[in-house]
Amino acid sequence: MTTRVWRDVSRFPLTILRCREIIQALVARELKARYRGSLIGGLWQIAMPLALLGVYYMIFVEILGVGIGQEQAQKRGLQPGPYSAFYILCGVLPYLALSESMMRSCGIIFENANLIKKIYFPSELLPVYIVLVTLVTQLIGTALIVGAVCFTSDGFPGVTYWTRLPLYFVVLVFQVLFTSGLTLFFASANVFLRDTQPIVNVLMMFLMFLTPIFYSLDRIDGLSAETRALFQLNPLYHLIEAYRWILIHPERSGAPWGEIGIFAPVAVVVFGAGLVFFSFSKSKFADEI
Amino acid sequence: MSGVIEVRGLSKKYKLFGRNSDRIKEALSFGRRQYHTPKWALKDIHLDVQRGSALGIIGANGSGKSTFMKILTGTTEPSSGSYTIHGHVGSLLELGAGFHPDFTGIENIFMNATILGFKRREIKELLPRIIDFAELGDYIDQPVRTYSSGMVMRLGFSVAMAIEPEVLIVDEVFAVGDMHFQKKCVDKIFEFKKQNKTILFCSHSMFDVRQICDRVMWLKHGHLEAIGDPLDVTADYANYIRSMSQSDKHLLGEEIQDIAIDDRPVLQKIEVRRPGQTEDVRTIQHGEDIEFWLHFKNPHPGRYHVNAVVAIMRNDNIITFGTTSEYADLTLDQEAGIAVLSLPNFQQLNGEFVVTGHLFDENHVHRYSQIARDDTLIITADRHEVGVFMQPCTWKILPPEHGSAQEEASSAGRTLES
Repeated sequence: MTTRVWRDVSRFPLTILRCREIIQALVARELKARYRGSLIGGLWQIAMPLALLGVYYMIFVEILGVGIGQEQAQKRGLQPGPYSAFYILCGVLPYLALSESMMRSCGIIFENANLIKKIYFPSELLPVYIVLVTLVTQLIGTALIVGAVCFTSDGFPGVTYWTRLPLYFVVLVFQVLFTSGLTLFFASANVFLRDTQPIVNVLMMFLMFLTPIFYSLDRIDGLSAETRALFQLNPLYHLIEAYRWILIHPERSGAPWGEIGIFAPVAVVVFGAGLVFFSFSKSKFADEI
Repeated sequence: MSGVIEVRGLSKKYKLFGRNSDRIKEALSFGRRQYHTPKWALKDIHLDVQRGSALGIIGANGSGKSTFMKILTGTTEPSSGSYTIHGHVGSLLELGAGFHPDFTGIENIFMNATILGFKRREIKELLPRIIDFAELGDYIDQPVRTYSSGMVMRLGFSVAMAIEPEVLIVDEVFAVGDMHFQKKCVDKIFEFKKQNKTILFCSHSMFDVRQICDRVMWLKHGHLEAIGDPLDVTADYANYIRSMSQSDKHLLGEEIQDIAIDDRPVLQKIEVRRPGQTEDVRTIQHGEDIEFWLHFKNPHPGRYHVNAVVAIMRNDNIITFGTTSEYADLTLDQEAGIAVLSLPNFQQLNGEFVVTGHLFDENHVHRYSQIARDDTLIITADRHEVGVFMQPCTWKILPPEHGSAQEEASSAGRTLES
C-alpha cells in the first residue's frame, strides 16, 4: 500500500510527461466545449479579461475612487487610473484561475467516473488538466496587461521590463504547483466527503476579500504590524504581489525575491502534500464513485 | 506451460456506511474503531490460468464476477491477497467504458493506447488497423457520444485487440452489435486463442462459455463455487439457477382435483432403475436405458379404470417428458402391482428433474393419486447440443439448384452422419 503510494508519487512527473497528449486533448476539449455554439468562440477568452478590466476600473477607480498607489504610479511614469486597473487585474487573474480550478476539481473525479471505474486511468491527470485550462484566461489577461502597460506608460518602458518578463513564468510554475496541490487534494477529498465542494466555495469567497486584490494594504490607515502579518500568512498575497512587482512596475530592476522566497517553498509543500494525499486515496476512487 | 495469471487469496471488501458521518468517524479513529458494515464481494479466490487457455467466469448477478474482472484490469484494488498477470492486458469491461464521450474516435484510440503504455509513433502505426476493424467510416472523427451502442462496442473491441494483448479480459459485451460484427469478434477471439494467448471470458450465456472456454469458474456470493470442465460447471450452474427460480415444487396439474374417495387407487412408490438392476438411481447418463417403476394398489379394480402416468419435470418447472399407459392400450386392472415404463436410449439432455407418477381415470381428468420421488433425477450429458432433448440427426450439403423446383431424392448431396 505505502510502497504503491510512493511509487505513484515518484512517477508523477513521468506520468504527466507520458500522458501529455491526453492532457493536451483534455484541455482542448474543455476549451472547445466551453464555447460550443457561441458566435465569437475563442474570442471570449480575450473578451472576458477585457470586460473584467472594464468593470473593475469603472467601479473601483471611477466610482469609488479607490485609487491605489497614485503617488507611486505618478512617480514611476504611469497614469494613476490605469495603474489601479492593472493593480486589480494582477490580483484578479491569478485569483480567478485558482478559484475556478478549485471549484472544478471537486467534481472532476465524478465527471470522469466512466474512465476511472472501467479502465486503469491515471486519475492524477484530471486535477492537473483543470489547472492548465484555467491558465488560458490568465495568460491572455496578462498579455493584455503587458500591452497596456507599454501603451500607457510615458515613453517605452525600459529594457529592464522586458528582461524581467521571463520571471513571470518562473512564478507561474510555482502557481501551477500550488494550484495543482490544492486541486489534487480537493478532488480526492470530495470523493469521500461531498461537503468539500461547499466548503471550497466558502473558502474561495473569504479568500477573495482577505487577499489584497481590490485594495492595497498600504492604503489601510492604522494597519497594525500584527494585522499586516496576518494578511501575509496568505500565500496568495505573496503570489499576487510578485506578479504586481513584475508586471506593473516597469521602472524596477531586479526581482521580487522576497515574495518568491515565501511563495515558492509554500507551493512546493502544498503540491507535495496534495500529491501524496491524492496518491494515497486514488485506489479507492473506483469503489466510491 | 507457465501460469500467465496467478491469483492468490484474492478478497475484496466493500465498506458500507450507514451515514456519511460514520465514514468521518472511522477515518478519524485511525483504524481503532469500525463504523462500517463489511460486504465481501470476493473471498479468498485462488486461481492459476495457463498461457493459451480460455477461462470462463460465470455466476449470478452480484456474485463478484465484475469485481474480479475489475481487480484484474487494475481499476480497483483487492482488500487482501494478490495477483500477477504476465504481459499486456486488453480489457473490454463494459460498453463505452474507458471512452471520453467528448473525444472523437481517434482521440479515444490515442488516449487508451497511451494509458496502456504505447508511444505516439506506435499508435500511429496501429491506427489504420483499428479504424479498419471498427468499420466506423467518417464517424471516427466524431465525438464518441454521437455513436450508437454498436459503434462504441466496435471501437472498444478494435482498440482492445489492436494493442495485441497477451491477456484479453472480456465482460459480457457481445449483447450489442449486429450479427456481422459479433461474428467478427468471435472469430477474432478464436484467432486470439490459436495464437496461444489467454482469455478471461465473463458471460451469462452458457452457450458462449461452453463454445469459447477450456475451463469455467463459477463464482457464488464472492467465493469460488466450482472450477473445471465447461460442460460440468455450466450444467451445475444452470441447475442452480433453475432451482433458484423454482418457487415451490408443484406437481403437474394442480388444477386437476383429486377424487376424495376411500379405497381409491393409490401410488405407493416411484423408482428409476437401470434394466436388470434393483437400485433406485439418482444419476444417469444421457442415452442410457432406464425404467420407471410405479408401485400401485387398486383395491377395487372393477370399479376404477386406472391409467398410469409418468412425467419428469426439470427444476425450472418445465415438463420435459410425460406419457400414459393408455397410449400402450394398458390399464391397471390388478389389485396391486408395479407398472414399469421402459425408456431405451433415453434422449433427455442434462438437467435436474423431479420424477412424478400419477394414476388417472380413463379420461385423464380425475386423478386418483400422485407421487413424486424425494430425490431428484440428475441427467448428465457429455454432448454440446443445447435444449431439452437430443434428436438423432444428419446433415448434408446440396448444390444450390436443389433449393427450388423438384426435390428429387438424388444422391447429389453428401451425407454427414452426426
